Amino acid sequence: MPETGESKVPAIKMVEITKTFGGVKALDRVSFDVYEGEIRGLVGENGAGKSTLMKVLSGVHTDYSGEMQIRGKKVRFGATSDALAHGIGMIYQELSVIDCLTVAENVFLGKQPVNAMGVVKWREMQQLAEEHLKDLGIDVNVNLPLNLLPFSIRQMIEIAKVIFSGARIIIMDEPTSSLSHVETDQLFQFVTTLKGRGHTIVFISHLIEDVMTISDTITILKDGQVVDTVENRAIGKHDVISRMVGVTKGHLVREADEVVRLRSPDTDGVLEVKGLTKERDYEDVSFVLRRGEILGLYGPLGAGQEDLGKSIFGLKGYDSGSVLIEGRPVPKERPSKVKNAGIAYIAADRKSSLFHQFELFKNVTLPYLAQVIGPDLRWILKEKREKAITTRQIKNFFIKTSGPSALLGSLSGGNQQKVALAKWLTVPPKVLIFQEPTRGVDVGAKAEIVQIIRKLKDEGLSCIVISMEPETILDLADRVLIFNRGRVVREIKNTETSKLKILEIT
Amino acid sequence: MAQEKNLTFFQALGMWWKPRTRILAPFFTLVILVVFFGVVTDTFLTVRNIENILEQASLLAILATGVTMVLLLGEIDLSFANVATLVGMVMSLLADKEIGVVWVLPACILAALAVGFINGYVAAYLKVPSFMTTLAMFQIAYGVAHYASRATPIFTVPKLFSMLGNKNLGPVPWVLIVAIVVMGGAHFVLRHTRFGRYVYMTGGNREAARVSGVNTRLVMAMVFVIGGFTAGFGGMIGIGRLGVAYDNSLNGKLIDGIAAVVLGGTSLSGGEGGILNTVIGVLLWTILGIGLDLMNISIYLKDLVRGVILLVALIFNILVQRSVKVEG
Repeated sequence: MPETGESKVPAIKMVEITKTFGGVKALDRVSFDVYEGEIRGLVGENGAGKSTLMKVLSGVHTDYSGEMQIRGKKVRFGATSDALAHGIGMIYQELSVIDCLTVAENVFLGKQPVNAMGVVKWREMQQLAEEHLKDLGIDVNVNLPLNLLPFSIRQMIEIAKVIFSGARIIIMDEPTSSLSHVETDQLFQFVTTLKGRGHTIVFISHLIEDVMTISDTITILKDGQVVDTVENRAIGKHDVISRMVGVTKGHLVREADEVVRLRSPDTDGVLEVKGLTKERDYEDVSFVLRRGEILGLYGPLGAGQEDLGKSIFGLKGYDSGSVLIEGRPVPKERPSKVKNAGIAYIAADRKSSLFHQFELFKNVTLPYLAQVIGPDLRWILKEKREKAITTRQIKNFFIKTSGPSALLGSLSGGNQQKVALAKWLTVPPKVLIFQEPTRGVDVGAKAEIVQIIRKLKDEGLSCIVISMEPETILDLADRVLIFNRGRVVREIKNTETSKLKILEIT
Repeated sequence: MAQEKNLTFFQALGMWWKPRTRILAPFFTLVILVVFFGVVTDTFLTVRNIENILEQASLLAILATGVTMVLLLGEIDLSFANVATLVGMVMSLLADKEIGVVWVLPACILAALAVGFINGYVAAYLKVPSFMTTLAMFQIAYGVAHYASRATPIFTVPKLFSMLGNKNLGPVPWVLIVAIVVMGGAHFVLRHTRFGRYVYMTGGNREAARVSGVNTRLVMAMVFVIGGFTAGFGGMIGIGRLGVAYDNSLNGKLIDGIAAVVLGGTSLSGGEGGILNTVIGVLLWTILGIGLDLMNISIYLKDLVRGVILLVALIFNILVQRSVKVEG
């Protein structure tokens, strides 16, 4: 327990909270205290109960057993509005601000100052919004619509809005997972300002690094129980992860200065990108991907590497340049033809690449459906063959499911990510493009995915791994191209490097 | 998991019902409707009337086949009824010039496919929302029929289509046989071919289908071409049945077709439903119309009653499906 709070009353006191979902205990007698002005990190694998615990605290889940006190007062919330009335606000990964409205309108959403006629007092609203935001250290033109502002600023505005509604305790669910390095720093500065103003913060994240940068104390959850609450400076990253996973699963943690030796194979080229340019996205990008190589494209958010990946697969167009596979041009803006040329694409966002309402086997066989049900009568479906291949993929990729006919939506996030991979390997492609292959999955699934990609490489597949997380790049890549503002600023190959060095370049 | 063995009867019923709600809810509505009309009228459950229902439902079923596919894709076709009228009109005009049915039939099919292709090309490749594309086609199809006929009825119909529309093969109406063939074919395509899988997946999540390398634009264009075909073919049989082509003979089928498909449980947002749903929907909508005719309700009130019942049925279906989703 933090010494600072010994004499004070905790801002949040949760005692022996138990919450079950259909007979399964999501939380098992969890006690959780946070003191005023504290930044508490909350970590654990997927399903450890982090979100459930915070949903109890913010009034989303109302049927739990146990007791809660807010600043010493016993409470039991019937709705999120009750929680907000007690000064508790939750910021979800998916923001609730409205992109086409201005900053000021968003800050005052639902409670605009009005005159006697019910007409909005725009001047006053703008002034108040400006003052309020400046007060929190956010310097922004309040008349701009949100969609013109970077994601990190939108996030801060959402937080400001919640504070403006009276929240003293702010819960943030995965706030940094879609932010670049610089943006994360910006957010952390903001969070530190909030702490200085006496706000209490609970910070949930998969990114242990971020939790360790910002938190005063860290609570580790595992299987619905608290493993421990420790002071940040008293523990290392490796310890945190090994305690939340339970056992040390080999190569999970990388210290910032840990040295990684890159070594690229000296094979012939498979995919060649020549002078690819798309205005405002990336400029004059050229590289050759070699057989059996994993090429990492690293850059912060919006540096161009993500758009480049989409362009190669044909999801986006480009202005000039060309892409060649084994010397033949890859069709532009035609994913269905790019696929047949031998390029597979694993999207970053599972929601936009998988079908939750359909069976697992329909998801798995879709990309190479013709080949799976062929070679005879390629236009008639053969569910038996589809299910057999899916069963094989379930085994090969360690997917936890009841079988090929289970609905995709019934799988956990990490297992869905494996499906996103498995569906592109029913027939071996020549080149695999991975967008953020480990985003939003827990540490255990992450290790498995890294293992799978390495194995594919050993089998001779050529891969491009695109990521904003240096961790992911270093775990996988043989060679790294570093992007900044749409250009390749450095190639790192056949040398030693580390996370610090990569971060320093950008 | 451990509880699975000790399910109560109602839990077991729930588990059986839930995944099938989309087809069972309209099915039980149909049963209720049949029982209701059977009880309140003397004439509803007679052979003559059942034959009448089947004949009317068959024509609607042919038209609704294409609508089903378009809706499965999450798109809409507002033009199919007017296209049906147009193609039927083309058939009558050609027949009127004493051109043989061997030429009339392919010419009309070609016209139907061409209209479907224009709908599909504009909506899928030029990305004009299908609502607007087909609304424009709604107007164009009527405009062409109106101009070509100079608003006068054409009384010539090829014998083949007069027969398909009115005659029986033994005890079975030809139009029913045609409907079974068309719907059977569509069901096979949707459930047992690669193209059908692409239709469901594209309708379920267009972006995901595209990222999975499905040529979603081609799928969409082809669905509209099929829609054009079933509209045109249905139009030829419809005009054959009437024996005369006006420039708006079948235009009223717009509401009937979409109402039938949606009542059958095919989702307006795509990916869920199918031909079996539409079979039930078509029967529901036809029985509702004929049942009300038999019920001594003022003829001026019938449309209003049908409209209100449609609205109530749609709300009911949505509520049932939502309740299943929340619990599941």
